[in-house]
Amino acid sequence: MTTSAGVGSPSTLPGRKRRDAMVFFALTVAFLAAAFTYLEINPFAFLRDLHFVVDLLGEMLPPDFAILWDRGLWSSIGETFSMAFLGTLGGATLAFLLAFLAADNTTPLRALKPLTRALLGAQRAAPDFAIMLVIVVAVGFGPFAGTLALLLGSTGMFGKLFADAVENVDQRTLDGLWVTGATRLQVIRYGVVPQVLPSFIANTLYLFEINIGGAIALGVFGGGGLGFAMHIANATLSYAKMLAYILVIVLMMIITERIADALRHRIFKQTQTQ
Amino acid sequence: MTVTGALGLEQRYGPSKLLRLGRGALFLLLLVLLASWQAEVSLDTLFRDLPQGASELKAFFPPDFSILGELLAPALVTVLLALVPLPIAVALAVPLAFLGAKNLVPRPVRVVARSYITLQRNLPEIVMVLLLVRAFGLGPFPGIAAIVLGSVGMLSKLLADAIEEIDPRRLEALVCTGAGTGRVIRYAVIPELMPTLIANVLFRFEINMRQAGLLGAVGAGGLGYELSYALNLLEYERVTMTVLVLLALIATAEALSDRLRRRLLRGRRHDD
Repeated sequence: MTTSAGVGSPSTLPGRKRRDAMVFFALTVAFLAAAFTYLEINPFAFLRDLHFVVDLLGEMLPPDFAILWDRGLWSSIGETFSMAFLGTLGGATLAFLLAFLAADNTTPLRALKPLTRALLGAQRAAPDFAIMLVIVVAVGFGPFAGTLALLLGSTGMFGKLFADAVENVDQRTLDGLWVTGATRLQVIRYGVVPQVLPSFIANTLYLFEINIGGAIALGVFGGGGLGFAMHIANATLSYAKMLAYILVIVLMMIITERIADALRHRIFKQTQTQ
Repeated sequence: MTVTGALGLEQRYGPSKLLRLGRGALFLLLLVLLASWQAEVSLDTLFRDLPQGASELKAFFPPDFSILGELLAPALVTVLLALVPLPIAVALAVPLAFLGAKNLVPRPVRVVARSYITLQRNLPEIVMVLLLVRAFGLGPFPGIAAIVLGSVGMLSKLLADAIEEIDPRRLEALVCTGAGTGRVIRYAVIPELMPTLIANVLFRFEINMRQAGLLGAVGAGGLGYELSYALNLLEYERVTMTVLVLLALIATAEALSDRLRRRLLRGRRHDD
């Protein structure tokens, strides 16, 4: 274990290291100053305008928990969960299939690898909301458009991750199967899948957590669910209602995280005892 | 692990295993149906409207390359929205992570710090920015503030976890030499933390690029704002061009951070 910053020997001398750190610090401050000037932001305006935050909080408190008795809330929660669930399941399934085309050691055709990787790359780079806005033009607003956007975004994000995992499997296991005369599908089924399945499942759970947040964000752009409900409260200046929605969102995300954590632990325990 | 799997074939695929698989599949199918009903999935939409709508996507092509010049300034704003929050977030997240690590602070302090981190992490950035836009008005400031807070939530959680995983013997060794808390942090905690910090700051940069596009659309400026503006005017060729620029920026950010990560973490990896 080398200590801090330096890798080469001369840079690890204490004086040099300290100077480097100070130069780095000065450059960062200069960058921030330049950026704030360009964006015409006065960072101290934050303190000056703090009373706006206080005013807003004053209007938000106490949260209007009357929404809890509204049936609309429960269907919003259901919508958000459903969007995230379907987006994750569909995205993970597509990513799972594409991963085998995009990985060196399983692709049936060499040319497919760069092709699939490029497709996944483009999907990953396109922000969910941009995909969503385009889909909305095709299918109109609503949770279904949001679901499709999440599905495509998830495929891009996890296709690459899955493909890298497939490329990192123990090659000797696969060789062992090849020499028994197994077909490509059999090698994948008995050699690759058992090795990558635990990490796939763990990542899919993680993806579900991300997609809950994504479903809320897309809701604001017209995708329905809790995000849309909160957006409406915001647009109609019903701040007390908005805060109640925000609290519901936070609670929902915390519960999702806990459940996903618990499931992950269980899955890893199972694979370890196998 | 795989070998035992293959040898235990009979036992793994006996009737009870099949029954369990079948039950799982049935349960999953029910969930999918329930969710599809909730999310208003309709096969009609999927197989009829979507292909029909796809023909309307013609309106998005060809991209309007003539506006490339106009997009340079918004592109710079988007990059700044992603970049400016990083140093600020690190400056806030590192101390917060110390307060959230059980091997550095007393229990009550940790509980308070961790509660805040959990709250922050689970508040989506979009919510943050809507609130901040309400408070401070439109412009890049609420966007930057929202991204700072989002980055603090993520970084402080990961850093606090990393601190708690430090081998206690390393800390004790320093305490034995008579070092105070400050020195223990300086010479034992920070060096251990650097790889996690670097890797996650770079990762966060990629996330911030995406967020900057999204938050721009709700009023933080930059390319996201141009995008929603062009959409509202139904100028779809402009939309395509803006998306292309955003895509190029995000892909560049990803490639850059991949490369930097590899360079900065080389020679640090040998102990894991």
